[in-house]
Amino acid sequence: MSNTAAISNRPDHLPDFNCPPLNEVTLGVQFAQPKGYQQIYAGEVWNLYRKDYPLVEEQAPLEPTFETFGLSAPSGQIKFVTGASHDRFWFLQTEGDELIQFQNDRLLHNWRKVGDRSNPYPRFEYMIAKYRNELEQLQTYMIGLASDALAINQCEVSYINHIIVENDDELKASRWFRFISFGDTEVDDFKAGFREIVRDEAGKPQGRLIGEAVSGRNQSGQRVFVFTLTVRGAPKEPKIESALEFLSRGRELIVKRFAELTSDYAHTKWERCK
Amino acid sequence: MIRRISDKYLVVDPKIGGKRISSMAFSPSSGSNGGMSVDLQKLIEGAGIDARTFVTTPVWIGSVRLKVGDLRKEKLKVGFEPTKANQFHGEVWGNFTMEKKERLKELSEWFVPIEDVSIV
Amino acid sequence: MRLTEIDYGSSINSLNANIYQFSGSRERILLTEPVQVWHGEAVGQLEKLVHLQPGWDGYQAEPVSFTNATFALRMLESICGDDAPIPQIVPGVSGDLQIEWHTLQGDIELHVKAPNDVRAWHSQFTDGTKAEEIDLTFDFIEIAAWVKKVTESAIAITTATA
Repeated sequence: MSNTAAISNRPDHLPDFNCPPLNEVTLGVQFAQPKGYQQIYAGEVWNLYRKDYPLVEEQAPLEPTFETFGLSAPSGQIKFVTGASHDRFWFLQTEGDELIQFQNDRLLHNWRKVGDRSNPYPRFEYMIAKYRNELEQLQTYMIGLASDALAINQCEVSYINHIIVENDDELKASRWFRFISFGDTEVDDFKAGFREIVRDEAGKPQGRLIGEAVSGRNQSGQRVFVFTLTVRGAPKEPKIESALEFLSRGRELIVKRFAELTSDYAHTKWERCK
Repeated sequence: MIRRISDKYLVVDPKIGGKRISSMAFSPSSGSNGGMSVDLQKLIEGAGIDARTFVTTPVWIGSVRLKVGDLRKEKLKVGFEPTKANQFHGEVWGNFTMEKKERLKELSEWFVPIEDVSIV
Repeated sequence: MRLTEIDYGSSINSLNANIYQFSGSRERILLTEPVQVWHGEAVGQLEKLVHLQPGWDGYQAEPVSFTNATFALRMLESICGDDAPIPQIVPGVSGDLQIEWHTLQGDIELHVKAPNDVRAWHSQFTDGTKAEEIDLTFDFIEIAAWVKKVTESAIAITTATA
């Protein structure tokens, strides 16, 4: 799908900005390790995508992550001491702005700003069409290893925004965020987070929206506020189609919340057009 | 037939004032054709091997015994499924509800008892 | 999942913080934030179960899978209050596991077959609640109520006999 087609397919009711502070978008699914798969086959998985993603890097693996519901939201990180684990591989485009992350129980697609940060965001509709293709290629490969279709148990969509502070007036968090204010107090730095249960049409919990705003500096040393919105949860069925539906719904919620939680000043700066 | 009972299957139950066997000890493996592993006593002894020695070698593990007829009355199927490691291996297939697992416990008797542990 | 590095200028306790591995290490490192007694005990039990040797049952059993252990712990965090009794955790043969409470008030068994696939059962409780067996995915509010029942009764007995 071309960018133009992606823009024209964008749901009309969603807020939109000409210059949003978007720095990175991630689409991801987690699945049960396919039967018959071992790390030795990671090279064959890379071959599925190598034509468009000719570069590879190895990273530490991501731990399993699950949203569950009951009395309260689980928190904290869990790791168990185990033996050797499967690496996480980054398959990168030569420009480095899009990449696929793969490990034995995950496939993710990332887009990010790189270099002089002028590379435009290709839009969600474009990204999810590519991601569907990548998932289907992986599934076909895994079925060929005497396995079943991917059994997807979690999905995650993240939008990571870098709000660059250009002057002292903009150092106040309340300039940008409706939900953060320190009154007249000047703080050195801050970190704020929240979680919201995402419910399905029947009102049952299906996932969580996780928001985090934190002050810091980017690699160029500029003061930034990083505002991350993530929707994570289990798809209705453990299948690709259901996972993509979850990601699409998650994206809609993120875009709406982004507009609701940021200020009029921010919207003017980012040229809100819808 | 003999079902080995690892100490990993033992739980403390204050209602009996001690340890007993968990229902997990009578659960099948996952997967569409998953069954519960057993050792077929008649085949072991038919090969001239002492069954108690067989099921406690190389690692000592407790075990219970069930009658094949009792399993069939519970609508469970028993079959001979030798493996590389165990030529007397069998499997039990069926619908292992909680009620069924409790019945299997009631129908079991110790073959190689674990000291101070109840079956039910 | 975040790719770009940010200097937060302070210690991180982010919901989405990256896990940093010591360079060259291929070990996964234990990092939890236990705030309840049952939590520390459950982590300890799960640690042992993910390290079981293949064939631990005398047949062809696998160790409890890391994924199932993680999901089980998240489930416990969703259903156990601070004063919940310590669960007993029993391995299955296919990487699965079962979480059990056996109390004077009744029994609860939660069979984690896979993430989002739990068979939950409780015996008749002493308050007359009939035995029940249900299948659940990731919403455990119902079994939170079961655990509360055995917790409250246990506390009442402890208080009465103190």
